[in-house]
Amino acid sequence: MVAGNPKRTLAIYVAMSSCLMMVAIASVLLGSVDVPFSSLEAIVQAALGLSDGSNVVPGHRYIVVDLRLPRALFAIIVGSALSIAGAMMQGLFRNPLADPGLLGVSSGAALGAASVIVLGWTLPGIPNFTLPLAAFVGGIVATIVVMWLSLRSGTTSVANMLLAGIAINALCGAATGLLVYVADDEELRTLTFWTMGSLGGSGWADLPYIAGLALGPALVGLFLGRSVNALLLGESEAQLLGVNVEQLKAIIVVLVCVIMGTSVALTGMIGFVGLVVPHLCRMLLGADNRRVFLGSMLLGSTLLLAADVLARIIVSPAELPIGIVTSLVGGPFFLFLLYRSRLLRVS
Amino acid sequence: MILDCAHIHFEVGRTSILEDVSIEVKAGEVVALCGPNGAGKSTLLRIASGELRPDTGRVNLFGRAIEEWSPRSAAKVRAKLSQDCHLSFSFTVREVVEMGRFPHQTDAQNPEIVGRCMDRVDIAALADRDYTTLSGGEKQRVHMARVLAQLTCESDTSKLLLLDEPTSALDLRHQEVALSLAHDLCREQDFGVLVVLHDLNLAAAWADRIVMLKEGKVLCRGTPEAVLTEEVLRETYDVEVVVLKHPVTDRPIVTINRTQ
Repeated sequence: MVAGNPKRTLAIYVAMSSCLMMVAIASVLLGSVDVPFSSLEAIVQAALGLSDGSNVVPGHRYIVVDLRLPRALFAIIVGSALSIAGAMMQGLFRNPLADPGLLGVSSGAALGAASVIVLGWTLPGIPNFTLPLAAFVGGIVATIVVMWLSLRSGTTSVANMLLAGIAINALCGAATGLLVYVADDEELRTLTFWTMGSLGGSGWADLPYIAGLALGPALVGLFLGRSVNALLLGESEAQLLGVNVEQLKAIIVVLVCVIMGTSVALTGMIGFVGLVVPHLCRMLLGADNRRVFLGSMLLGSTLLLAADVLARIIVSPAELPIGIVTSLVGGPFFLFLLYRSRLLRVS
Repeated sequence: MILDCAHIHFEVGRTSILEDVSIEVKAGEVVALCGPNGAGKSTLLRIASGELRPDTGRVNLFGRAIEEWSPRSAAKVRAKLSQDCHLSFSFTVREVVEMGRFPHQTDAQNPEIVGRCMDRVDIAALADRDYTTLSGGEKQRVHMARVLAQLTCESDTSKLLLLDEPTSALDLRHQEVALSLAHDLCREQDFGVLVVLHDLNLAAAWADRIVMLKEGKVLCRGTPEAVLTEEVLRETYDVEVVVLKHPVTDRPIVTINRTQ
């Protein structure tokens, strides 16, 4: 069956959703303390009012509901949002190797985070929010600068955007490097771990932010599939087809920037998800972005959740930074894609 | 008047690409735009489509200034087949043609419309093929089908079809398929077609009028018989030609005079 066949597409969606369910169950059961499936059953039954909850082990309840469930939801939201952000960027740049980091968000956020960690700033009243807020603001400012640099007589040139993004990434990297240079050992360790990403800090309290600022824009992105398809024909072709190209580009940049800023602020840098997942989806579902976007959200959430489970159990009871896991899997896969595209001369 | 470009001037840097060019396309006629490389044909087409704004002069689409049209409403009555279209993602042919339906409400009829458009340019057999694996001529026909799908709608109003060298990569048969299709659309559905053609014999065979451009100016315009003369072509292309008469259609045939 050809990729894009409705039956095949549906079968893949069902398979992806089933995988997500299974990994989600595994993610609340596995970890430094393994919770038996029967405990999960008891907790669910109690939550649904089917039992009085007397058979629930309190410790297990705490682990599942207060620790692992919000973390799993975090992974699902961040994974799906990073993936659709990557898919949108690849559409915007009309290049299957484009990455959400091209807009400068990640490096800007890293600079924001490094400033807070190394210079020891805290915001009065909300000290715990200083780091994510600085990272978020850093990411947004970097993107605004990139967009401003790529403006030319009222329109944004994607080629200039790419070049400006590279320049801003380099500048932010240099500034972060300076901060690293003056940092002491403790700060260095915090910063290094932050850049490798972690879902360790995710609790119910942060969930509304990630839901509103990462899942929200991701869901908006789902409606852009058809326009982004047209954009792949080229900007003037898309305009001739009735797409308001400047508006579409602006919407994509805002969505990607907010998704990336929020994700990086709350979970640190998680690489390769946004690059690799849309690719996998294109192989499975064909190039139509209506399918790629939805598939990316399903597959991205599953893969990041699985990576988080791995990060928690490989060196249990300690934890690996999740960025290491995603890069360890994503890096070789990316090389494989490059190798394959060289063979097929497709990119 | 479907398309009315009046007194178009267009410059890039200090180089004048078009100087005081006016061109009109009426419902039901095929107008061919001919002339040597660099004469400004494609630029004129891009101005007519609204992709480029002229420095001075105005472009009216169905009597309304082109700037006043929203992208979507313009897309429903005007389509353009461009010379180069780089699509590096592995869409199927059917999906590429379906992109032409973008300006329209998605409805149940889309698959049928897409199928019909693929039939008309003879690519139905390629429907499930990966677009990126097609030959240049096949890609050109896919985009022709896409443009056709874009202009298919229930209301039978006339449309403007802009074709930039639609036959450049096509074989003999498909050149005929493409241009007879454009011709039929004019006769049957009152389309207006403005087509850039290098092959003067195709222009002679299918155009109602020919506009000859050289160095950004209109050199000559009129029926194929009036424009395709030895004098005009000598002045336009700086070559000696012989103009013959087609034994069946009586239309002009242009060939190089190689004795001189």
